[in-house]
Amino acid sequence: MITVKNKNEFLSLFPNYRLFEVKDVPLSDKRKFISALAQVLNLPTYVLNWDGLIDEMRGLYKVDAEKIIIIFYTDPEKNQFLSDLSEVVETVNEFLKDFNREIILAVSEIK
Amino acid sequence: MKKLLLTILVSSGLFLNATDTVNKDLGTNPINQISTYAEKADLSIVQKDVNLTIDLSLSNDEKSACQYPNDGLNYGTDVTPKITDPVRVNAIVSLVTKIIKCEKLPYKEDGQIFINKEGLLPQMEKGYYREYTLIIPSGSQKEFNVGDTHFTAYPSYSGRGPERIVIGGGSIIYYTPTHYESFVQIKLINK
Repeated sequence: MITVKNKNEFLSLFPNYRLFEVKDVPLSDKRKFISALAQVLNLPTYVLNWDGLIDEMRGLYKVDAEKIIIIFYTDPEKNQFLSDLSEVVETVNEFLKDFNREIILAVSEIK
Repeated sequence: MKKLLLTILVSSGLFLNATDTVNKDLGTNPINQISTYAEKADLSIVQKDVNLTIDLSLSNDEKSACQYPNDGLNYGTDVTPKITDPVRVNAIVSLVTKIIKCEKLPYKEDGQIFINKEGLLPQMEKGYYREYTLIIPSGSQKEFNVGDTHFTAYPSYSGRGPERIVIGGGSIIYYTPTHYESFVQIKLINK
């Protein structure tokens, strides 16, 4: 999980990316947290658990960009789900590498 | 390479004579052997019964090349516990049959590792579980039972829909009509 201080500077590191931004991130309700991410990624609304999220995020291989950057605007100290999400993304990236795709997770406290 | 077993039974001694010639001249290609046998034999003078058996079962090399672990799966025509929606039964039977036959499934996500992060299934080593898209055709029931458990079908927003099959160890089948919210262990049986 990368901590972003300056979004533009951070994005300039990647020549070919697609950006997804998750704002108003739920801090303590897992289903709401997953649902918020699923909505931003345009995944089906029935994605409400980690296993379902992994399954549907694998479909991001269709995104027309090598790097899929997801920035969460939240307090990383208070959000208890970011470490779980890192494991999810690690699993999804094992699949995406065959398509030359990679999800990069980032967190920013700046709204 | 496919194992090709050819058994040719011919009711006259003509078969033996032709076989001798074939084996000397044509090596082991059975298609060439049959074709040449037919050319060399004078079939017009003798009535013959030909029984041709072709065994297209997978060799050990092909089984190991199959990307879907399936060693412990059995064919069947029905599912237990009973599913009250016959459309779903047919979909499950069809999918599992394809996995047994190692037919290529339509989605790249099919056969991927299910890590069981929610822990709803027994904890096993990574790679033990694989997940497969269960496409539910139109005409399926919105309300149905799997054994004693009642389900209301989730709406389908995407091409793959919400229903999945997870297979553990290439043998134990779990059905989740609820996109991994709950699982029912099922088996294929013959009616």
